[in-house]
This record gives sequence, C-alpha cells and structure tokens, in this order.
Amino acid sequence: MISPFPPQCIGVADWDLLRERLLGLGLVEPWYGGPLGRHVEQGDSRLLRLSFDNSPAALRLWNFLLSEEERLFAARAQGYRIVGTMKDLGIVPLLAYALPKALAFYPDGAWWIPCVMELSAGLLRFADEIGLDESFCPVRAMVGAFLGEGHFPRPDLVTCSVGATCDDFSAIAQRLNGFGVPILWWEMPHVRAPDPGEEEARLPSGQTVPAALVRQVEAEFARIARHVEEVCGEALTGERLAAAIERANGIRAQLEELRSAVFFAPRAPLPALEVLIAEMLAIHYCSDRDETEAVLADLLAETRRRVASGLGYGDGFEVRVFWVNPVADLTAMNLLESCGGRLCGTDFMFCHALDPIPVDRPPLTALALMALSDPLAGTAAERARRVAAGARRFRAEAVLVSRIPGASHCAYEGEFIAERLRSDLGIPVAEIEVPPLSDSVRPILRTRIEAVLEAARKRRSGR
Amino acid sequence: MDLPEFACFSPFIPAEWGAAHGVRLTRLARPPAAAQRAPREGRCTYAVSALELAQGFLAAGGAGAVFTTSCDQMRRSAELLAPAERVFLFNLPHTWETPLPHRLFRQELLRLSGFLCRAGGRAFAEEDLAAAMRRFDGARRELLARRETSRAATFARLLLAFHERADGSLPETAAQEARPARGPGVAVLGGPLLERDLWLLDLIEESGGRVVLNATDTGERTLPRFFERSRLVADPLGELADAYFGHIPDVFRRPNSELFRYLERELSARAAQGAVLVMPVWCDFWRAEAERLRGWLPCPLAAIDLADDANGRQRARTRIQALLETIS
Ligand code: SF4
Ligand code: SF4
Repeated sequence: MISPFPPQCIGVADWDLLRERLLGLGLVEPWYGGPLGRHVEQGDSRLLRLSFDNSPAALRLWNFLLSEEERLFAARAQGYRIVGTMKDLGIVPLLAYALPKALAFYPDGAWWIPCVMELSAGLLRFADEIGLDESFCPVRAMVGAFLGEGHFPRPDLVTCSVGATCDDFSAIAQRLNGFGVPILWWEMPHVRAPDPGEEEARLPSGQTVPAALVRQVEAEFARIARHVEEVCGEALTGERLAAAIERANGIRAQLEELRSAVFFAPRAPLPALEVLIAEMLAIHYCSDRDETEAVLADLLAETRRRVASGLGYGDGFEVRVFWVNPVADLTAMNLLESCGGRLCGTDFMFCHALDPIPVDRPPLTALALMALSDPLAGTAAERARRVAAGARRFRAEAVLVSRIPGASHCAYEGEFIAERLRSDLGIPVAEIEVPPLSDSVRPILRTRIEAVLEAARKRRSGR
Repeated sequence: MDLPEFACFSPFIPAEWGAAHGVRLTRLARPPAAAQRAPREGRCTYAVSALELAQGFLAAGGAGAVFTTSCDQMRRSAELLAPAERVFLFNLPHTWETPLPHRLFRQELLRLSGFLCRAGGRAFAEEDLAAAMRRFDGARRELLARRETSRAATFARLLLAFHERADGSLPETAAQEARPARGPGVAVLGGPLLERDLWLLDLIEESGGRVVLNATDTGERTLPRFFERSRLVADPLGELADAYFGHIPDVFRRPNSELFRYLERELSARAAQGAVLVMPVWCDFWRAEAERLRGWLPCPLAAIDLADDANGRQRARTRIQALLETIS
C-alpha cells in the first residue's frame, strides 16, 4: 500500500494510531505485521527514542526487522536448517539460501541488541563478566545472545571468517568456541596488490588483486559448501548456486535503485534510518529472502511515488552527507537529520554486499571475488578510494566517519580515511564515536555534526 | 660486507629464510624512549612500538620491514609505513586445521623470497637454506640450555638478542648469575615482552617467585620446533614451514586450542604453581582469553596490563605479590 499521507517522521505511539487508520483504509499486513508498540512491550525500548518514516512500507520494514528472532524460531519449527554465518557480511549466506529448506543469519546482528533493548537484555553485563569488557566493540553482546538461546535458535552450522578481519570478532568468536560452540573457521586473506609478475584478477570494484587470492577463497567456499550440504542433506549444485546469485543480484538491484533514488532526489524521499535498515537486508535477507524482496519492493514503490510527486523530507537545502561505518546507536541517524543533514551515500562496512555479483564466472569464483571486495579485508587506502568515489557519485558535501567504540580497525583506519578524504575531496570530514546508548554524549555528537554541516554550508556559499 | 637488514616483528618469520637469501631478518625489540608515550586509544602498545621501530629503521637506511597479518593492528600498522615499496606484509594464515593454510604459508615464504631478492638479497639455494637451518637449530638448542642457568630476565634478553642478531650466532652471556633456587614456580604467558618490559620478570623473582616458563610471544613458546635432520636434505623449505607454522602455538590462531595444549603440557612439566598473564594494553586477543585462562589453568593467575609507567609498575607489583602470597 502506498502511503496516503505526506512523508513525516513519527514516534512509536503515533505509529500505532496511524496503523489503525491504515488498516481502516485497507492496509494488509504480512503475518509478522502488527503495531510497533508491541516490540517495545517485548523489550525493544529504544524504539521509543526513534523517529520513523510514516509509510506502510516503513512499517513493514520495521516489523520485518524486529520480528527476526521470532521468525527464526518459526523457521526452525518448520524444519529449516539454520546456518549462523559470522563476520564475512553478505557472501556465505548465499550458500545456505541456495538450498530449499535452509537459511542463514548473522549472529553478529546481536551488535544492536544493547541499543535496541537499552541494555535491558544484560548482554553487555554478561560480556563484562566473562572478561569481554568495553575495550571490545559492541559485538561482544553476541556471546550472551548465543549462549542464552532466547535471541535466536542455536544454528545447525556456524561459520566464521578470520585472517584479514577484525581482532574483536576473532577474539570473541574464539571465546564462543571456548564455551563449546563448534565453529567452522575459514581463512580470509588480506587483500593486497599483486607483486611484480604475479597473475592478476580484477574485482567487481575495479581493484586488481593476485589471482591466487581468488583461488584461495574459492577453495574455502567449496569447503564451506560441503559442510552446508552435509548439514542440510541436499546437494549444492552449480545451478542452485547460480540461481541464488541471480536472486541476490535482484535484491542488490532493488537496493541500488533505492539508494540512487534517495540520494539523488531533490528532497530525501526516505529518512536516513530507514535507508540504513534497508541496506542491512542485503547481508542475510533478515533471515527471509522472499520477504526481503517484498519489503524492498514496497519501499521502492513508496520512494518512486514520492520522488515523482516531489514529496520528501526537508526543503532540499540540507547538507548532503556521506556516512562511513554503522552506528551502534540507531538514534544517531535521526540526529543527522535533526542537525540539518541528509544521507547521500553510505559505507556501512558491507558495500560488497550491495555490488552486483558477476554472473559470467563459475558461482564460487564469483563469490570469492565478492568476498575479496570486503572493505575490511583490504587496505584503508582502498576503502578510502571507494568512499571518495561514492561521495563524488552522490555529490556529498561532507563525510562523517563514525567510530565504533572498542573496534580494533577504527583506531587505525578512521583517522587515515578522514585525512585521505579531506585531501582527495576537499570537503569537510569529521570523526564521531557513537556508543550503543549515546544519550550521555549526545550534546557532543550534536556539536560535532553541526560543526561539519556548518563547514559544508560555508563551503557551498563560497565563504 | 654488511648484510642487508630487514626489520621484522613476528616469530613466524624464520630468520633462517633471511640467512638463505644473504640478508638478516632482524627482530627489533628495543623501541626508542619516544615510543613509550601513551599511544592513541585503541592501539596496542606493542603494535605502536613496532611501527615506530620500523619507521626509525627505514629512515636510518634499513633495507625493508616485514610485518605479518597476525592481527588487525599489525596488518594496519604496515600500511602506515613509508615507503610502501620497502614494506612486506606477510599474509599469515590464522586457520591451521586444513592443508590450505599450510600451503599458503609456504607460498608466502616464496613471495617473501621475491621481496628479499628485489631488495638486495640473493636467490636462495636449498643447500644454503639447509645449512642455515642447521646453524640456527644448533644455536637454539644451546640457547635453551642456558635457560637453566640464567635469571628469567637474562634468558629473555638472550632470546631477544638472538632474534635481533638473526644470523644464527649466540650473544655473549654475561657473567654467571644465580637463578633463584627456591620459591614457587611461576609461568609467564601472554603478549610480547620488549627489552623495556623485562623488569616484570625481575619483579617476579625479586618478590620471591621462580620463573619456570616464559611463554610470552617473545619467549620460548614461539621458538620453532627442532628440525628433523633427514628432512633438511629432502625438503628444507617444507621442514622450515612446518617447524614454524605447523608448530608455534599462538593466541591469534583459529582455533587457538594448540596454545592451551602447549600450556597444559608445559605448566605441568615445569611444575608451575602460579601464572602471570601479560596483556599489552588494547590487545584483543590476549585480553579475551584472560578470563578463560583463569578458569582453565590448574593454578592461580594474575592478569597484568602491561603499562610501563609508575602506576602500571605498582599495579603489577601488587598483583604479583598477591599471587605469590596465594601460592607460597
Ligand atoms: S570491530 Fe568492527 S568489524 Fe569487527 S565486529 Fe566490531 S564493528 Fe564489526
Ligand atoms: S599484542 Fe596483540 S594486538 Fe598487539 S600486536 Fe600482538 S597480537 Fe596484535
């Protein structure tokens, strides 16, 4: 259903009233639909502090996201095999989704539980107790979520990429393993430039890498595929994988259209927060591929209609901001807009889950090429290059590099990327750090965001 | 003529490999005083020291620097070094349970060979490699024998000097000194101990303990296994790769079960009654294992944040004394 109302940001309580009106106007919801307020009653209290888009498409998006745990338990009850894929963001899940009764999800998603449940789940407290203190990134919440089993069912297979990933995740996954969770570790090599005379391969991002790395990752995927087959009792044929890639590309195409429409429109047809959530669907389809396609189709329809009618947020003069890294506290995305910015380009650390997968190669080769495009596996210089290209493409006027508390990579690449962008793009760049509950540092965040937006406005007016 | 020198920082980079190429892969362990200032939040103190040592080394005309991908911090440190052409980042696999990472390690050695040759080394010959391996192996046996007659800090210093010389020769030993003969046996494990950190070992001994095992990243845990003589003829490179990658237990490896197996074996063999875990500030790998080790080790554990300032030393002193009181 297309929204009968102009775009407006509303809170949870208003959403529940609006939903009643929409039902009266003919809104039909999927089985996981319902009032957003019920999620608050179930503990997702951070929702009370968020502002949401008022379209039926956004309601569906949020209900889809917030029902993931419930849907995972339901899938288990229906006999689905569940693969917990850790760390690689967007590639290994395709191996599971290639099979008819299998699905994949990222236990890493527990990253957001402390924010969404405002610490009430006790996951960070548990992490503290087992020695995973604040020097680790918020993904430390995963151990409690895993062991508690209330947040998601115990997967039938757990994979984890290590090597050129981050120390936080590797260390935390190892602790999980120490608690008796079997993990299929696989090697993600550091992505480098070829040495003189070394055979080369080209990634979809345009980067040239040694062909040996592609073969190596492909061999690892073949190994994981064998385990997935074993767990699911079905053959992972080339045809099935090719079909899974085609579906993935369809979803990536939906997201590409959505991002372009939102970032290029004169007025932002969707708020930053909904864009972040929509992009996240790419990595494991929020545990349901069919629904992901449907949710994105609704969002696209709403966006197209708003763009065509000149509807959107703000007056079109907001500062165009490219955002680097996901935020541990979702309210930060609302904050950007309340400071006078709008989202025009993102690198939430999974841009390789948004790029189209090549279809002119054997499926495992294609997946290896995508895995090697993971911005965390390569150099900060390459990541900065991609961010700069994205910022140029979406005509960003400022860049916000959001640091993740405790994250091993942020202490190195944050400053590096910020400096590189300042010199390459000549636009204002600021680093901010967003903790899972940012209320206490909100004035500082606001000041920093406002300062960078102000600098961009001055630059715009030539002052 | 002096051999071209390359700075390196990982026990997984075999110095024999450098020797076979006519170069020295010297492991630096004495950071300048400036490197001891508080680093940026989130950066491991060891990685920061390695970066500063490498920067100084390259600026002073060193032939190159070799870093590994053993952790995110070292991998990213390598990128901050200039000039990039003189920096080699060794892709050190973290997994080890399948044949692939072992193959990769060997391939990386060959890639390193190319780098060394481009930077002034000579192409390696198998006989040269085998000869270097024999020399280093013998030196390591002799080195380990000195453990029994040296104080802990002296032995640690010997190891550092051996790695720094990186030519298979043994450093001079200072005048014989008495190793504590009595006191509870303490195993020291954890991250690297640089020259500036060796006060910690003295502190344990001055407090009445006896260091029976140095299982830190710069201690005996990270020495390769002894070489099999027959394999030195048949396949020296394969033997080298296996002795290092196939056997050094480390905290970053996945899974890190071999580290626990090593500790189980060695703590019992050395009759350790207590353990000290050294955690470089902001090292995720060692910090994450601290609580697990506490529950798993058969003896009490004192976990220490390695900070070389007055407060850090005082905290370490208090913890070590408390540990020794518990186990005495
Ligand atoms: S450190 Fe960064 S990449 Fe690693 S789990 Fe945390 S947020 Fe993700
Ligand atoms: S001490 Fe830890 S973080 Fe530091 S270099 Fe070693 S493994 Fe990396």
